[in-house]
Amino acid sequence: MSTQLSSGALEAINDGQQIDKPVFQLLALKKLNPAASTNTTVDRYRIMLSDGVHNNTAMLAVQLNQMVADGQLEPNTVICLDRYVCNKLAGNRRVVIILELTVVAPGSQVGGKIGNPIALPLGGGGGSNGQQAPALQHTPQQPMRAGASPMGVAKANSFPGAGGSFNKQGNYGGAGPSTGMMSPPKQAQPISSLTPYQNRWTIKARVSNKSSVRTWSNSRGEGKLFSMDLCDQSGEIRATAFKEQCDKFYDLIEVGKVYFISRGTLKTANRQYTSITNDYEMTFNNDTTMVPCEEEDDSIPTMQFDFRTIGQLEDMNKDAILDVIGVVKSASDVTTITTKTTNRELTKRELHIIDDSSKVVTLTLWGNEAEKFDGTSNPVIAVKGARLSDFGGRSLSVLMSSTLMINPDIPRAHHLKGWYDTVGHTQDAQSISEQRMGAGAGANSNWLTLEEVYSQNLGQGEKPDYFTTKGTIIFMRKENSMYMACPSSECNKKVSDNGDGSYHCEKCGKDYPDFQYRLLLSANVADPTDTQWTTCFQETAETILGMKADELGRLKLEDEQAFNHVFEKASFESYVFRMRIKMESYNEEARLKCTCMSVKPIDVKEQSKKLIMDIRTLAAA
Amino acid sequence: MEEGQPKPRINGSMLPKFQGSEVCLLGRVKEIDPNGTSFVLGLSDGVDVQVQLQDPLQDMIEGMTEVIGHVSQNPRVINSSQFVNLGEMDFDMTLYDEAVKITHEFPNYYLQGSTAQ
Repeated sequence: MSTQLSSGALEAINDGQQIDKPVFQLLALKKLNPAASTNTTVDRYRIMLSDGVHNNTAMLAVQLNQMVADGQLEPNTVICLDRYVCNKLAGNRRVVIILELTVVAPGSQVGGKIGNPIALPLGGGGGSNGQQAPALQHTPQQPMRAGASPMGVAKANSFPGAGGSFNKQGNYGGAGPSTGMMSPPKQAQPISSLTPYQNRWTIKARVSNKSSVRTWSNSRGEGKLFSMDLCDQSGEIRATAFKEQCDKFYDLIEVGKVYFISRGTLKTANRQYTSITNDYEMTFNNDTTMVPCEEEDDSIPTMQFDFRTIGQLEDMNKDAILDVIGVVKSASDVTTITTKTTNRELTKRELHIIDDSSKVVTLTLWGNEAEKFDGTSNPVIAVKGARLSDFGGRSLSVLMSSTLMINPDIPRAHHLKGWYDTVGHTQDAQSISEQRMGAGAGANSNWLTLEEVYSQNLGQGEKPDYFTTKGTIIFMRKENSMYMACPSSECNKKVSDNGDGSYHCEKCGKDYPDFQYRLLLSANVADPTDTQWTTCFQETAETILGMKADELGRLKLEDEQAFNHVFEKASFESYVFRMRIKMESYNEEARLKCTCMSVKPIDVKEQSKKLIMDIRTLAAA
Repeated sequence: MEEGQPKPRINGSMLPKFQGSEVCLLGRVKEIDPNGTSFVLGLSDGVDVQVQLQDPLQDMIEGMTEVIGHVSQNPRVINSSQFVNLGEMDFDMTLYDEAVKITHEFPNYYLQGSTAQ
């Protein structure tokens, strides 16, 4: 047998020594209490290790579960522990948690048990079957909360008494020369070993993401919070800081840095809102400390992703929380919707992202992230924890808990960008989103010719309809293109001239010493099929006229010729119009009212791409 | 040859089909013969052709150039009857190539140009 085991290493580790890369034989592998972990999606494995002299149990960190699934960790396999930690348990025993390993010789090659190992004798009071004790010990050592969930108990079985052991930290730290695996002054334990049954622990973790501060206000009061994702070699966890802690920690924490964190409150994670692979989540409390780790520790990974390709999304369940990465092929404008349930106004922006599965999916950003997003230059976007929905085929939504990264510095992102720039940008990509057609399509761009707008009876329904069209302005009404508006911000209502140099706003019920001009431009838009009168408000009208409202107001008073010239110059320009159309009644007369929501100069390249895509789609149909 | 008739607008991959015909090619000037009697034109699908001129070049040419000429026996050699030098500009060759392909895929919707000899 060519494979050499590290004889005596198990005993040495159990005595608190650090052995670099010991080689052991794996004798048995057992999945822990799958039945008890109702809400748990992560399996845990306990393994029996032998160094040829002794055998002892060890835990496999969850990130190595894949090796079990791949069949790499069969009994008799000889493995090298590249990275592990040894946690002290009650009764002077220790449990080894394997964080990284390499297979030295697969079980099939080794053929059988090497040597004749016996169970490691215990330092005191453990009994002869000590190697089984960790899994059989059913009483959590330090139940912190009365209502411990069954899942919590299952977890505690894996790491019984770990909390208690850290009461004697000094003892442990002095046990052997630290070989840099865990740097002094603090002893940190892996994130995967955290349970609600410990109250004195320290983890050394990298902040992979930090949310912005969010505020809430409901019947029970208001407050603010932010959350962050922490990760180390063993796994990851979501941590949330409320109110005072939010103020205390928010500015201190930098994404990407490593911190020692101790004394948070742990509770069962709500898996509905996060893709973080941990049964628990952490809440900061008054005792929580977070100390930056001065020296950079490369062994602690940066953000962990488990990307799905867009092609895979079609086969996944609705409401799945997943990680996705893609190139932003196009981005819609920001739109506002009003939620039915809470009547709140939400802003959103839809991105069409593509990856090398040559499928496109719609990804919706909300609120601040929607408003700030810049889709020009086709950035790569990575989202951790997006939710898959079946709204319009398949689409993705970025949640409050999701992490958004633009052009992240990870190999997959560079690969995709390279793929997109060389191949992807011209490929005929099939979208797995939006098979919605015609009227009622609020979200997608709904490209229509004006003729189609009429033939599909847009705007005749209860709700307004939206469409996008490419058109040319053929006429604008100069008269009444501006009105005198209330100068207070957000009001914008018309004011009446009191004749004494003051202006009255009925809405505010106040007189003002001045007013501001606002635009209300009626424009006739033509495309090859028809024409449509549309109303353009301030921003869109300013874009079309190429001039600010107050400047135009000045011209109207001072220089009529220049004023007229502005309108002449703006005529016969073509744009991409985003329109809202709705039947409205004025004096009991129903009129189809078309309002211009946004107006964009035509990007010939984008427009050509769209037309090419349309032609390909038509030809394929 | 019918003077003044529109010529088929093609890319490099279509050249063999148009041997002996007069075509219209748009590309980027890559290299000019020291004598000024020919230049290399990079077409929208990455194919390079050699454009033979009737008269040596009088002026420097660079960037986007549109050539009307005969595809010779060797389809990579074009005998130019006229050309327009448009200079350096931001031009999306890939999109242009797609557009050219579409005009040939759907001949009933696009003017094809005359290939009469």
